[in-house]
Amino acid sequence: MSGLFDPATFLLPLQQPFMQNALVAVVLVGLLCALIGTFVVLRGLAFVGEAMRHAIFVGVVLSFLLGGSLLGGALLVALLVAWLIGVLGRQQRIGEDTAIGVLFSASFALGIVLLNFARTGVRDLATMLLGNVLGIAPFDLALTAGVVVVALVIIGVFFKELVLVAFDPALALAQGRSVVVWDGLLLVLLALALTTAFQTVGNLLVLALLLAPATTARLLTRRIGPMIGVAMVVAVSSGIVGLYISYWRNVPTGPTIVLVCGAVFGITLLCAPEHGVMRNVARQWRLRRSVPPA
Amino acid sequence: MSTAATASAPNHTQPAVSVEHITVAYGAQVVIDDVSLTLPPAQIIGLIGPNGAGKTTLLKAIVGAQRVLKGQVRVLGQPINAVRQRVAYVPQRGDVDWSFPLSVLDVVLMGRYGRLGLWRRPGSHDRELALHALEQVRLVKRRSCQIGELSGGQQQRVFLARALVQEADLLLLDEPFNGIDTTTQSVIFDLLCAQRRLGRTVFLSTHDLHSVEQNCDQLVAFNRRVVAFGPVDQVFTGPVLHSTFGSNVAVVGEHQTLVIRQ
Repeated sequence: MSGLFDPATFLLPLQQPFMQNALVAVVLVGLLCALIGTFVVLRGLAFVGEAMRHAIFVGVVLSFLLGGSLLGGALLVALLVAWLIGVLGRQQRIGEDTAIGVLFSASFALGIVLLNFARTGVRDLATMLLGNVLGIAPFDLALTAGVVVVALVIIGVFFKELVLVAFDPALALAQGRSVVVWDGLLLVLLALALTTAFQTVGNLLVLALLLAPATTARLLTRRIGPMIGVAMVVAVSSGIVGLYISYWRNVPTGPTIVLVCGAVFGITLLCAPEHGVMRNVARQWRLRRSVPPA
Repeated sequence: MSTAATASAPNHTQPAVSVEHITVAYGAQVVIDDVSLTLPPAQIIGLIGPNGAGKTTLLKAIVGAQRVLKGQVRVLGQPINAVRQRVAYVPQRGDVDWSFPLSVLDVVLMGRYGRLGLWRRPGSHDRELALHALEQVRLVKRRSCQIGELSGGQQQRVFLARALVQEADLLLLDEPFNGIDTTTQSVIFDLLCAQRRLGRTVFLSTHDLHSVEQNCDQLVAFNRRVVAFGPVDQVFTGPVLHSTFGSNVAVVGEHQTLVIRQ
């Protein structure tokens, strides 16, 4: 193996088509997850995302059994789920989180039971749970690119509405905007991100890619624009670094990417200049020293 | 104020708000019970009542952010949907997450969103208005701060600035004096009086009885229904306060009130 500073170290792997595809996939999914993850974090939809990815699993299994595009099938189910969550959210009698939790854990179980009808069960289960970015099909790559464009356009056009509803739903209502509609749009975007990313990092770990870069960015920025930008840089670079590490060390790609993301978040949480743990500890220590003993 | 404000000067003959027999319930729990209320224009009107009296719900029902089970709400003589841009609403400060990555100016600009509609973004005219409003609340120097860096009183003033840029004829404020400093309180009341001089109506909820006694023209004593409504000296009496606040209030002397528990 050549040295770290030799360009060939990075270029040689890219001579293989599967690595080229994987690199494009990782960049696209990183951009998408950072963009939508920012709004998921700001609107407090992490739990809804967790529930949704369980349900999407059923869609993946079903389309696998029926022999369709995994991404296409998952997308259909995800949109259905987004609608269902919107409806459940309005049933105030049952706690929203309870209802969502029960329903979607059950749907995940259904997915695993269904998977037993496939002959090659266990290996495919691993693929679905952990992702298989090295085997991504050109069609799915194109679909992913399409989803990224759609998300960019929707968020670009309705930026102020999405921000307003996330920050102050009461004012949004008073201005005559339907919070249900804008939350619904965000749920659809969330569904798109979860579905698109599951082939890269797998169903189990997709939420990390959605939340970690956005949360990292929130620790480092003061406005939403920069937050999205930093989240994108974190997500894309974690994806690329994770991809290369997994190629060189021959470890699963999805988990490696998520590990890199998690490490970046952990380091930021410790060292962030304003909101970091170390900064806070230092502040308290200085404060305690400045208070004279009683 | 700008010429747009004078052009849309409110009509002084019709009530600012007229609520007829409205009932609001969360599930099976009735929070507002068959309430009727007519607020005159160009006045500062206080809404007082204990916690859980339904003050927030009443404000939300007026502004159309809360569904009404029964009854009718008319604002500035029309259904709320026809006059939304002429109504500014200031939610309770505690209702939003102040660590949100927005600058002070970003938040004030949100007051313009109603007029901008779905497709337009805030332009230079909106920014000018926002900066002017920030000047009025004495926060123009802090326009680029992240909103979490402000004190509670400053945050409340940002919310007021956001309502001012809307150039509305009716301002509804929910607990604007909750946990703020006296400077902020006098800045807010000065600005509200200026709004009144422009012929605009202010309706604000509070449980700080001292501030409303001095600064409001009329009071609504409210506890799921209207206990009393009229000029301050008529509402601010022992019997009214007792039936509004129940045993939580003790009245000492003729006009001295002591609220023991909220």
